Amino acid sequence: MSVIASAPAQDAAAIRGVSLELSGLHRSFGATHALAGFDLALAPGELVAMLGPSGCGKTTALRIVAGFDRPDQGSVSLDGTDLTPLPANKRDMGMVFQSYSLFPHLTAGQNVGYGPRLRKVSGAERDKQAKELLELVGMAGMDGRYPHQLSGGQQQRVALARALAVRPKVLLLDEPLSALDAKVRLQLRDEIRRIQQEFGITTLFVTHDQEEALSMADRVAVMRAGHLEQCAAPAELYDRPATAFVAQFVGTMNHLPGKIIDAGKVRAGGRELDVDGDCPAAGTEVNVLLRPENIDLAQDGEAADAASRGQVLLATFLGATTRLTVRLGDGTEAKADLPSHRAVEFPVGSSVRLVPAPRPVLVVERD
Amino acid sequence: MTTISEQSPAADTSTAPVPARRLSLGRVRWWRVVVLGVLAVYFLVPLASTFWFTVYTPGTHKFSLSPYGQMFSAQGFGTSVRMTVEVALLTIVILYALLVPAMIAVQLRLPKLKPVLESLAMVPLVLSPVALVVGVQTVLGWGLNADPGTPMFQLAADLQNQSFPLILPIVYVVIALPFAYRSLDAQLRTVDLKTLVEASRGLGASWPVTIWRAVLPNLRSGLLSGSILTLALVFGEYTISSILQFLPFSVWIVQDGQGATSGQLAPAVSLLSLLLTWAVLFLVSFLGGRRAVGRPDRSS
Repeated sequence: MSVIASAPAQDAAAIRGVSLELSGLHRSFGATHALAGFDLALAPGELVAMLGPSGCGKTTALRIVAGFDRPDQGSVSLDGTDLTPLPANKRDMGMVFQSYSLFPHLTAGQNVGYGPRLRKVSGAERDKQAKELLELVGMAGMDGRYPHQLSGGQQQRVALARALAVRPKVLLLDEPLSALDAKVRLQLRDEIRRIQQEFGITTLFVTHDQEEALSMADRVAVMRAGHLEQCAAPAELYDRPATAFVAQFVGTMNHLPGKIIDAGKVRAGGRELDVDGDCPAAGTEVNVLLRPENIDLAQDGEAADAASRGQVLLATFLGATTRLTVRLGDGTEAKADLPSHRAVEFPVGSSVRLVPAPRPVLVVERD
Repeated sequence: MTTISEQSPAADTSTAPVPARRLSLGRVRWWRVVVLGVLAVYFLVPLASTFWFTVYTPGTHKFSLSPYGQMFSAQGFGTSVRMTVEVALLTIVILYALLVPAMIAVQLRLPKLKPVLESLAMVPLVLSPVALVVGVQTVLGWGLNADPGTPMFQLAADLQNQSFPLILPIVYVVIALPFAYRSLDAQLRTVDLKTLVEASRGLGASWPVTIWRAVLPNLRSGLLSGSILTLALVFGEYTISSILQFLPFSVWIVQDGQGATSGQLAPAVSLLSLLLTWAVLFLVSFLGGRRAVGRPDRSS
């Protein structure tokens, strides 16, 4: 990757810092409620990723912010100004689409200059700006190429430059990397983040790839069935999920059988653990949610609780760690991440017992 | 990135057994020659015969290209050609002014109406021009039966102005609709219209600017082929204009072009107009194909 030039100082200053607020958004398509009271607030210069399963309403929310769709209820405001009645062309937002959206009849340079041309910027100024922005996204010298002469990754770079050329108040990214191959995706992911930070532009990013969301965003908004489940920094979302849905959706999660033994106490894997969040009544059968890195293994012992005993089914080497899949006596499968040098102590087929880390856990009632 | 894998198969084919390849190519060539020969006979013999008829006079056994010279000085030639070209151009403008926004609106906002639009666009194919023109005559008659000086009468009179009959482009829009619709529809299927429109709107373009700068350039070959079909249709249309008693090119060929030089002028004009249409078709294919858009490689 070539070294990318710094954004012109005045451009960065012109773009920097607005707050975006989505309040009480409702949107239905027939009987389907794509958004059911969705709220989200972005601080100036913040990158927030909207993450959720298909049909959770994340793209609908983004399209409402862009002005391509109207909410049935609710509002979108920018620095306190209500944008909801404004059409898309009056909103000063830059958008990068999932599908390749460059104008096929225009060169890369002309694509970048499309927005400035509408704003009556002179031809010479447009060309200069297009060259600078293309250099910024690592496409120096490519301004004369047509979209069909560019690869998918290059097209998305040009699309990013085009979105930045209108000096948008907010940058909207609608799964811009999903059509690219893995290597290009990783490369472009880092560059989008770097450019976003360089410009300090408020950015809303839709993705279904949790790794992408966790690695790029300042905060991740997890959505489910048209509403916000939790919006938090990636580490907080992973370590302290607010709901069972978030806990299950973000990262790998084990569901170990357990039983509430007292108020705020659950017994699982042969150990008593504190319950974080809602706790059912004593005696309730529950599933205890545990991350693979919060489960340790020990050699099987006669004294061990039957529920925590099992057999190693599979070992997946991941580099520094190895993921061991253990089948418990009741048929449940659990995953434990162990340092690779320790994982060799538990070969496939060996009898082991699970040792959950002594930290508060989330529980969900068993069906 | 893909060069190695793409080159390997190419290298393999170059080492394939030569005799088998030659045999299969030889067969293909033989059949090609037959098919092309039959087609050439089918198309070229009538044209050659027409040409022969225009340049050879059996009575005097003389060859002469004079009909081709006479056509430009023949009475009414210039007027009829100009009128036909003007009518054709106005037809194309009205046709697209109606069709492009309608098709974009249906594709983006009202996809459920697409079958309705498609059916409507196909109706003129099953509508006889004679039936159509009878209807048009009736409607025009209402205006002419009104009192002279009334707007209704004036409108009917303006529509039938002999130097530029506005009624012709209006009727031709209807009969050209299926061809223009098909060309445009085929082109629209190759374009991600929604993304193009949203990209343009998001960058600050109004709807008219979006259609003009982002959509129409990408429908160019569809618009061009629809235009050429409409042009050819207007140049060749005889029934409607002759029943309505106008004198565009096609009617002029039959009525006035017959007189001079033992009837050689009319076929000479027809032949020339055919060649002219072909030339325009080639030009359109050249312009349309020049910026063919390929599928992007998704690798870096």
